[in-house]
Amino acid sequence: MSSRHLLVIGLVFAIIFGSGLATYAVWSLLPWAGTLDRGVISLLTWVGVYYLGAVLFWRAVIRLSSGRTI
Amino acid sequence: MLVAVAATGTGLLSYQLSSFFSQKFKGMGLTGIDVHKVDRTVTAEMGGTAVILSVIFGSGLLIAFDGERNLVFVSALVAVTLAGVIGLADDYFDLRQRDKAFLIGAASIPLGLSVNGLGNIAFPFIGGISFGALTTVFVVPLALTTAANFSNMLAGFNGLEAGIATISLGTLSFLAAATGQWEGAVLGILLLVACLGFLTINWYPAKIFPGDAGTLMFGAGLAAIGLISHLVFAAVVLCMPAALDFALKLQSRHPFGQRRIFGNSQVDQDGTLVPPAYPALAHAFMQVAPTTEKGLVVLLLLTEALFACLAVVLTLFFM
Repeated sequence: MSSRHLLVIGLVFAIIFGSGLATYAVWSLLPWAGTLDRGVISLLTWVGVYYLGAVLFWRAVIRLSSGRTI
Repeated sequence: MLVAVAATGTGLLSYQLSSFFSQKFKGMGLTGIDVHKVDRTVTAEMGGTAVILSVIFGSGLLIAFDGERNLVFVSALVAVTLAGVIGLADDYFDLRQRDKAFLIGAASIPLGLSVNGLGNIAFPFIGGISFGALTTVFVVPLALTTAANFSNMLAGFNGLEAGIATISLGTLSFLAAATGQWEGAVLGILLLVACLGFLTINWYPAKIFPGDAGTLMFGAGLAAIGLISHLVFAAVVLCMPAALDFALKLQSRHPFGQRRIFGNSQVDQDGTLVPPAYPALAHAFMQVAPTTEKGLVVLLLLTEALFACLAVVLTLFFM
């Protein structure tokens, strides 16, 4: 296990915390909406931010990469 | 007391059956090639059969001699074992992806009907959200199908699937017991010990692979216990590493056909793995620094264990 491996684990957690924060922010911005509507919009936000996080994660991995691919 | 006897029997039976099937299935030709070994060992497949049979044995023992098991327990057991049987069919007949998703959704109908009306799904900082009738027709089938397929995707290395299942089922069983959800805790313990029995044979160097019978059952078990124990959010957190793997694989042009196009990871003479050129969580660890198969599995299990800690903290202190 190297420091780069630990950095990858850190990046995984950065995605979950970032998407969680964005979801909570959207939930907080919609107090006037019904609970189910707020829930669905917040869920869609989470999915979107999580996917964006995955895209950024892979770019970071490529930067860290030692060039080992088939 | 009876739960302890059933759990011990389930674990021992799972170990014995896994050991037996590792020889028997090899003789029957139910095998796969361990592509992450230099000598490409031929290894028995469909080891999830041992987990299915031992969980049925343990649950049957409880249902027969312990009058406390209720409809929710039985419907969750049905959904989990049916997911395993669908996995067996997939191992044997190579089902299409959409057929698997549909069949697991259909297998979850009894569970959906029995958990309907169980109340809100709780989230930290937000509170409870009631999905009403959507729980039966949408939330439960989607949860089981998604968790089962996630479990099926983050796979392919000795001890990985059963290791992740052991950590996540152990965490959910603990949380279910800590919150007084005994039906979920009992089913979780049975699945956990069955996974442990199997893992001893499946750990590196594996003598048997779980196959889809194992992976689909592990994922369905996680979702089912989360649903019947009101621990849906904890189950979602435990699925996060697999969800990231799924999101990474979606980025390539052929999300479900990369292995066919790019091939498997290859193993160097020094035992380190070289990943194919498409995004996946396991490939990220292989790309940033050299790692062996065993090292990679330990890293992925460490990631899952950290998410398990997060699930415990969020569930016990922020909900």
